[in-house]
Amino acid sequence: MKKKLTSILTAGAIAISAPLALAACAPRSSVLKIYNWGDYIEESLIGEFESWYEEQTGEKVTVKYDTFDTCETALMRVETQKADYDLVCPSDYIAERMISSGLALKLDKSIFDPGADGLLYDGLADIVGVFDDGNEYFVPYVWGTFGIMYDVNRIDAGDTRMESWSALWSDEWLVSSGKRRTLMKDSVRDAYSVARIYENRDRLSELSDGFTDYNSVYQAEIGSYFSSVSDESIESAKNTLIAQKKVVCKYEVDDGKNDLLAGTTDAWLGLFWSCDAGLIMIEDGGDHFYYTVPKEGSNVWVDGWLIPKYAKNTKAANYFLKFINTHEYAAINFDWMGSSMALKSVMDEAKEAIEEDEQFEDGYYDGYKQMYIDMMFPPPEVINRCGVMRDFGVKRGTDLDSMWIDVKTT
Amino acid sequence: MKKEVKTALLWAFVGVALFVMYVPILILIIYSFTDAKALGVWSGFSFELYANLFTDSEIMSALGNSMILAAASATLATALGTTAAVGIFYMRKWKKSTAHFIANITMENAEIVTGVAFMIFFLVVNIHYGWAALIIAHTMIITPYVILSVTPRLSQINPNLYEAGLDLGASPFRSLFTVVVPQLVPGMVSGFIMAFTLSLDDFIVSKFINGGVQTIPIYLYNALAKRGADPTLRALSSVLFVAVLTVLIVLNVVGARKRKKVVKV
Repeated sequence: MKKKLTSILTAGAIAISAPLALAACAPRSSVLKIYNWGDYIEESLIGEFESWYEEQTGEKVTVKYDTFDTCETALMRVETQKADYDLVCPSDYIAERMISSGLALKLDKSIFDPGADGLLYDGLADIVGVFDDGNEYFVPYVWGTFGIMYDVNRIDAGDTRMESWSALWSDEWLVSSGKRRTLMKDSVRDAYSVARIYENRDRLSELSDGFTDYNSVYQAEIGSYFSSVSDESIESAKNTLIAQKKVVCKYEVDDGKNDLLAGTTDAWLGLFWSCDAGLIMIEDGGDHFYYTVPKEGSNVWVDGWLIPKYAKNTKAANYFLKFINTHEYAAINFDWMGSSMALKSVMDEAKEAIEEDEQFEDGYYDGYKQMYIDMMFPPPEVINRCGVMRDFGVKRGTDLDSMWIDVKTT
Repeated sequence: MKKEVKTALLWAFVGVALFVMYVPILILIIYSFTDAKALGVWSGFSFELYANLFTDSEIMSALGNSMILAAASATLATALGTTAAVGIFYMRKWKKSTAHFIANITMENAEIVTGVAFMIFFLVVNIHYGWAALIIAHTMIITPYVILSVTPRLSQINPNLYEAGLDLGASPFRSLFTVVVPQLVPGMVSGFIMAFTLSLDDFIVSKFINGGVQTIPIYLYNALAKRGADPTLRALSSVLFVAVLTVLIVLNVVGARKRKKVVKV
């Protein structure tokens, strides 16, 4: 009766307050809240950091690790919910939005300076300098390019037709085999950018003297495709993308690479990010793919760390940035991630190891080794022909989304 | 149509329905015993995924969080739901339908509407996203299901027993808790199990208000988002499926045995 009622109420009260009490135990300055993509750091490094931090500063820290699925969710959490994460890992265009709307804090360069000479991979500091002048806010973490990946059992490795974006619009394989063989990303930013580059390939060819000299005029032009949006450009990109539909077998984001690996798709080629291409090439059965960045130009994407405005433990945050860019730990992360990373020393070491590995190409097609090196460690001529995604702002973002819906439903 | 043919067709239909529902899960379970990255590729029998599962601290903590959250909110929901069910049962006419309506609001709304509503609510009332928000929201979402479980039991029990208790000198509270509630226990238990499962399952509402506390559905969704299916998730799904299945089987077997024992008064 009364006893039972009170006991039920007490039990309920305890159930609510216990976790709260536990959470309130540790002072905020000994907690580091990290907000990263899912599956985007080597597990053990989190525990490693806690011991490393104690060695470096004599203080204890506990890491609270939370994940997000898209950087739009991360932006919403920081902007609207004013979440007090100490570190967040957005993509380039969201990082730009956060920096320009004052949602990011400046790094403490006395602890870690990403702009230090020779720290980041060649060209990377300049690429992110486009939206983060002086490398004050953003620390590149994982990066890559996008390009065309194709099955060498169907299309010869190194085929020059694949060096151009026209391959994604070409109906050659549709005509010769009767089936659609092209995969395309269900991502408006990537589709829009590729469409614009493809549409303007003649102009780009003129500016770069037939794609031999990626000079600054060329770079300004290609940069503009990633940063400028107008009603005309959206309309013409829409028409280009609709024209592409007749060869597209599927719009995908994740399953394309898995389907190609498992052999459960008709597709022979597609638009892919270098990190995805890298992931399947190291798997069993992934030995028959070729990745190339077309000569007309492409995109360098960078995911990196920012300290958001409402962070409460910036000291530990800066130390974490130093930790994750310390060669020893970055190398562990690189091995696990399988994707190009920002730290030059780790990249150089890995590149050398592959170059010296005489047997790297055994069991693979001719040219695999060079292709792999160019994919993971893009040479300057590739980086020079790439632009970085920019923040289009809220209104233009919505226009693009409507355009994409129109494309997919036509 | 002959009776045998009808029965055969019916069983065939049931068979096909069960097949379509469960074969994907069975495939997932079978492929959790190989460590190939892509689903559908068999690269030799191995327990590696399970080993990874139990040593992955992020998954284990998400599992722990999910369990604690489900236990806490299911307990609260059972308490609230049972008392609500009893109260609603004894109401009349318009009070009863109003109470029903309010009780079912979270059940009938689309989850995304509920999720956004909670997010704004907690922001306004200044409750931090995290455990408190999660437990409150989960309790509110799953209580209607407990009410739904307990109400049928109420109509099955003898309504005079409560008054008999009062006649024998018990206070209303005592009569309620000593006479009525024990008879509701089967409904409460099945309500608790359903509430527990729903809380474990809940993704959409949790995603808006979890504020750093990872639960299994949220962890799964985020892990799949950027880099595609991590094979360890196959092991995780298999474990969850088998666990829930076991609980349901045990519940039904025990329930059936009890029903055999009970002698109708």
